[in-house]
Amino acid sequence: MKKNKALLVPFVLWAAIFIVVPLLLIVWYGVTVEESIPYTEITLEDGRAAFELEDGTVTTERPQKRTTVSIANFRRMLEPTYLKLLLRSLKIAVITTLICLLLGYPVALILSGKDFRRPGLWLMLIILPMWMNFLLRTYSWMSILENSGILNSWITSLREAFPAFDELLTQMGVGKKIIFLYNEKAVVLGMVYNYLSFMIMPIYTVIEKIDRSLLEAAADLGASPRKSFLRVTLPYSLPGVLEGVTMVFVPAVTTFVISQLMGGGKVPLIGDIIQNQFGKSSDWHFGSTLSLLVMVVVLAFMGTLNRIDKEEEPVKEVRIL
Amino acid sequence: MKKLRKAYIALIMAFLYAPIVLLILYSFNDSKSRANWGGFTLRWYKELFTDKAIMSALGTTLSVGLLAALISTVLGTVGAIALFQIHKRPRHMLLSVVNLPMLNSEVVTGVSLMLLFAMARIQLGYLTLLLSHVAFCVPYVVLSVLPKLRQLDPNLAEAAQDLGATPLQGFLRVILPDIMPGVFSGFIMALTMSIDDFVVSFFTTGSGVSNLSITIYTMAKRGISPKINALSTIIFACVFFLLIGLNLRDFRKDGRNDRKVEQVRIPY
Amino acid sequence: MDNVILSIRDVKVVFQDDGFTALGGVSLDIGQNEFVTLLGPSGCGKTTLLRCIGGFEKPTSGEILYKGQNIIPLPPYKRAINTVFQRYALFPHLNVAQNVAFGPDLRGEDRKKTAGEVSRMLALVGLAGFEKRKIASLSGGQQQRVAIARALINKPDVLLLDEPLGALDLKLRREMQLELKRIQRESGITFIFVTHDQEEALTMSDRIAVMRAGEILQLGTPEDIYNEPQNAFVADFIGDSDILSGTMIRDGLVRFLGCDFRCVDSGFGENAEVDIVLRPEDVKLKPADDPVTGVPQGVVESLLFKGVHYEMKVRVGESVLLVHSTHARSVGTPVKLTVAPEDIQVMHKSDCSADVLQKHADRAK
Repeated sequence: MKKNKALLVPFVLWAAIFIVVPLLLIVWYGVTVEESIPYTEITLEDGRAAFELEDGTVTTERPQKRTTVSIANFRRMLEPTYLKLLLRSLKIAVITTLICLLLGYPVALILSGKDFRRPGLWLMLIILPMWMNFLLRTYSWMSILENSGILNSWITSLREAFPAFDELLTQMGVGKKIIFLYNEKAVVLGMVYNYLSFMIMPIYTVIEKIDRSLLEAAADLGASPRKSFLRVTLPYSLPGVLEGVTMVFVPAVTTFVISQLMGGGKVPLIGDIIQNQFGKSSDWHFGSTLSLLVMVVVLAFMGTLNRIDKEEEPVKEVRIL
Repeated sequence: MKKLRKAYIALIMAFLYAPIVLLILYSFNDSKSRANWGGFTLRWYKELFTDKAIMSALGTTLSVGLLAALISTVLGTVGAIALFQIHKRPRHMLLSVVNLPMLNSEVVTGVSLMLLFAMARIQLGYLTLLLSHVAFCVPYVVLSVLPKLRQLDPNLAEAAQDLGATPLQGFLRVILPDIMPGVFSGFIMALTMSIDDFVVSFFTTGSGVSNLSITIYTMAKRGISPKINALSTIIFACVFFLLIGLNLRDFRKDGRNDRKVEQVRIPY
Repeated sequence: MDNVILSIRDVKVVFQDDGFTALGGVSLDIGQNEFVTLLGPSGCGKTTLLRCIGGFEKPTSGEILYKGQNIIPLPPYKRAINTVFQRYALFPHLNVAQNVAFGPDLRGEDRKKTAGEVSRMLALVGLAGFEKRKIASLSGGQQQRVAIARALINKPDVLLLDEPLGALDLKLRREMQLELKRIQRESGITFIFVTHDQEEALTMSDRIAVMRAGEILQLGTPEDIYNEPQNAFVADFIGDSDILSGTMIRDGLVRFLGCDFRCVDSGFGENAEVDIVLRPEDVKLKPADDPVTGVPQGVVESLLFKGVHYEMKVRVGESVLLVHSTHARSVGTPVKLTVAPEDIQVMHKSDCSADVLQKHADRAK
């Protein structure tokens, strides 16, 4: 009985067309530039206009732009402007990831505690916000935080109600309106809000699967709750933490929407620049070079993180059809 | 200690739901401005259904979502089965390729697909939007079907044929029902990813075709219409009651429910 | 044999991917209503042979004749042969009755008639009333029985069983051995049974084919295989044994352990190198002051109580022999060893002699 390798054909074709070719295109665009061909306009003996190229060729058609392999875009990428952007993106992503980890790990830990009732329901409630468009949710944060937003109007009312509070704030040098939006902190807040669930889910999944008898054994052997957390729960939850970190870091380092909304264009990130290259500036080549950079950063990051690959594989290939 | 834990969870929930509650409130606010409360109204809900732009965006989102989920479920399931049947080395190689779109950032995926369509000289529009959504959904389906295949008794297909089933009959009657939970969760995951996507859509749509995400993005610059809030409230309420309704019994039976968690687990 | 139902002729299987020869030209005739066991260590090719018969593996060369017709080109679903898989391969989404009815349903048989058949089959395997049960709720032994019922309902002429008792505990295993034997007798179906458990093979089979490295080393009744192994490998694989190197001095006289023994074997020529197998229960121990002469002398090295008998290891020079006896002798006792001529099995040297002798020599260390 022959194996049904025919099934593989549509799949491999799909993977080639929609994964491999597009990535190769990015590489190609990334290492090339489009430049105009230098020429001098001359007049031929019969009076027709013609164009002489650098190598002496004469043509009657105006030379088009040409695509050449060049590292010019890589040089441009290394300019301080772009390096600063990249560093800022990395910084914001790292901060976001850390905050998500600090906020999310306890949530996962509490939910997986043995006396916590209905953790499934709470998990669902944590995921549910994702069903509301993330742009809308981010936008909603803006209406909370903006100068004439809810938070500021609450503070104003508090100030009116408690003069002492008003005085205290004034003494601390806080203005009438507190500016929350359009700075790096606001961008971080937006990202933490959007990506927190990505951190909680994988950690919970892993902690939940830790054999409870391990913790009991640890307690039996005289470990305090703190120690058994450090010696058992924490190390066993590491794969979940790694997955969570990946799931938060990767989108955080490349997002361009959250930074535009929460940062109001004042905190451009590398993602914004890429978006720009494919939109307004329309320099696909430079955009691709930057995409390559992002790709390398992300892959390098994941390469270092996900050394521990635990894929369960069947011993030998199995036939199904 | 126990109270402290509960308080912490409550705090996180407040953080997650504050903007959502606010959004829902705005959808009943009889004022276009976000700053003040103009009284309760259902006006936005009524106007919503006559707003052609929003309705067509909703239509695009839903039709692209369902089609992309359907196509990628078929393609991903077939792919997972094909992958499962080949040798370890080429399988690992192919799997790493398939995983690329998930590891890669959305921006890179979006940009690379845009370049692909430019090269193939396909006008950006509904078709490219759909193809792109299929492209980034397939890996999720493959990843949710593969574990089910791994759990499969290796002799199951042979047993079916042994009892007189042709390979196709064996697949339909035995293999498919057995991996169905994986296929289903792949479908749901693909649907979710597609409906929630903005970044890839942003790069791969054109010719005036826009889904909800893009409509909202465009609106965000000059102020979001309360009608969108109304629509989101409806969608959110539907999903909320659907999930609660579906799962309440399970939650009551046993607090922990792995399967559900896996099903609704949504990587970015 | 005149009632041959399945005839395997020079079947070779060479795996394409790694060039491994799983079967190196196996021939075997199997009769109607016979219980044949393919016995051998893992990797000997027994499962591959079974899969060839079932249609899951395509032989590189050779023929498999079913009632005189070559069935190699037929896919499994066109063969009147059914299989009980090692891990049962029950369909988890179907209940017991649906699993058993899978074959008849595929053939589009009348549902009511099938339902009756299913109940009859379940009764036959001792699972009456289990129709509506879920597969996951069954024990290993019960799943085993469902798998058998699912195969038997198709009324196959030949039933293939791939180590079907491997996953069961010892007690259940014993029960199922008897059960299988009963089902085979009552149904009149030919059973081809694969196992690596020699005890299981001896208990159940009409005939046993001992396999090693893709070949059948010996084919015969359990008594033949046990009492007259044809080479050191078979002797070693079946039951406890002492295997020694010896010299056939002439017909009826063999030398091993430094002494000459009368034996009943002949036809090996003079002064031929041979392998000797002794069963531990056939080696008799006599006190050192026994008047018998010309026999090996040794010292008891260890003594274990095994329930029905004592197991002793007796050192004779460089060798250590396993001896079973109902009479215990304490460690350190000097003894003389005797063996009756008909209990000495003389075998030609074969390519596995060296390995087996080495293994037995290692016991002495």
